[in-house]
Amino acid sequence: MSGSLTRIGAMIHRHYYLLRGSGPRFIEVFFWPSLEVMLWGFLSLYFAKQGTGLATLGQLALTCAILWQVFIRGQMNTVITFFEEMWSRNFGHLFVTPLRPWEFVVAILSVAGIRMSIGVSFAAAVATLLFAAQLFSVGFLLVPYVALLMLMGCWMGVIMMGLIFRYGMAVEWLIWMAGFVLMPLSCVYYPLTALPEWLHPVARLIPVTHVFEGVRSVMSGGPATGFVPALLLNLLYLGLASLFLRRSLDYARANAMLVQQGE
Amino acid sequence: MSENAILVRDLVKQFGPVTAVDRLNFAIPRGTCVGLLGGNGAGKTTTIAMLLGLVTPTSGNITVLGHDMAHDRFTALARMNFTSPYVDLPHRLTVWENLSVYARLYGVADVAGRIDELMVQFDLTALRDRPSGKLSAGQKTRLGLAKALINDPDVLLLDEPTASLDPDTADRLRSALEAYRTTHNCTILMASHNMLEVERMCSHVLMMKKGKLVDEGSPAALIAKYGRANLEAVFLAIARGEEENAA
Repeated sequence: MSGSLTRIGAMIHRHYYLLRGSGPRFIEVFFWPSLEVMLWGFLSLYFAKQGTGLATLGQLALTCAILWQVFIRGQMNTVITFFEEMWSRNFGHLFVTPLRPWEFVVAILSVAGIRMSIGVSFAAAVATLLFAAQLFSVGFLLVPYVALLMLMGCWMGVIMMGLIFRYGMAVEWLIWMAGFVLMPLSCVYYPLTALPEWLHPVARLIPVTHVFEGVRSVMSGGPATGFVPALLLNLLYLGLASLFLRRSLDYARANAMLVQQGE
Repeated sequence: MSENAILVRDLVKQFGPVTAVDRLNFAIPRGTCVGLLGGNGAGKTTTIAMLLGLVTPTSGNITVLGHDMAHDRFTALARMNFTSPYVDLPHRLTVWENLSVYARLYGVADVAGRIDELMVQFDLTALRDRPSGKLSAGQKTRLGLAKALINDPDVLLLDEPTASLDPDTADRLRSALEAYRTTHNCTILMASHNMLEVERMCSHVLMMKKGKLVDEGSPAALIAKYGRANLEAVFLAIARGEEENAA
């Protein structure tokens, strides 16, 4: 086990060195979550000037915007961290070391998690200081909700890695868009009831839908809901994603795709 | 314990209708340096990739240091290493950072000490903080070799180990590799198009053509068998289908 930790630590070091030596990469960690939060922050200020009801709606949207960043940045950072290995054509060296595939995945997810935590924490601080965001009105319940969002970011990231191993850079467009494609059905900024009835079953298959329904309920003084379905769905999808990644990696090794990366 | 560091039995690799490696059989005793020769598309790179576990064989067995690479490759990989001028290390990391990452991946106990040794050995000390992407081709080759020795490997797979190096540096590196092989009883399998290098370093040569092992032996034995002046002439004879002239 200590060997595994050393190797995972080596990979985390590799990405720390990369981030440390590249200003644009370092700024990127903060840039997107802060930009998104500022957009919704200004909107919440505008809503606040229009009346009490809209002010509450604005605060709710701002809180959900911050929480959405936990998922989307988690997933995007997984993809970016993984792509760094693709762009540097490093697999030919990495996969001939004793680094196990699962250690590689844990390392990528760890780096993505660290990047997301730094970026979203900064964005949350910006939202709290500049826009009086009420993120922490959710209280300690924030912890499990954030964990569920991170978990979804993880399995989405695992699927993205599997797609790249299986199809190469040809699916890059899908990789960048995947999280945003889910957004309309994830009920981030509006309740599930805002969707047409026939879409409800589809939306309920997405773990984050339950998270945002739960957060809205808590912020409106209602019960904390959504933990169990979100957790069960996340675990199911994580299992399926891991299976898919394993099969994709086997396919990549059988077809010499680890040697010939890129297009 | 196996006497052979590398044992390959009935190895086949097919990519769709193309047979890249066709029933390959060879054994490499511990502590020897063996050359893997063949023209472009002969199957050398695919063979090396299969030995490293980067590509799964269609059929056949590979055993490295007594470990079946199909089921126990990570134990073997910890005692192996590899370099090729065609597989870069991450460009944005400095020389020291790259070596440090790989030292940790291989579980090297004294990371800083081992890196310092290799930087001196491969004349990289002045380049310590330079990003790998800003090195010259020759400097990258030296860095690749330093990375290949970072874990004191028992088996070393080298693809064109002295490509892009000036004759003086190439000669020094060959001497360093020979010294390492002797002192560590390391087994080296080397793909190279530099026949003089192969003649100097390798005690045995495997000749591949169209995925098959078409001949093998010591450089001297092959030169005598084909009645040629040197190994390059033997290579050309095999590549051009003049094997029938072999004595």
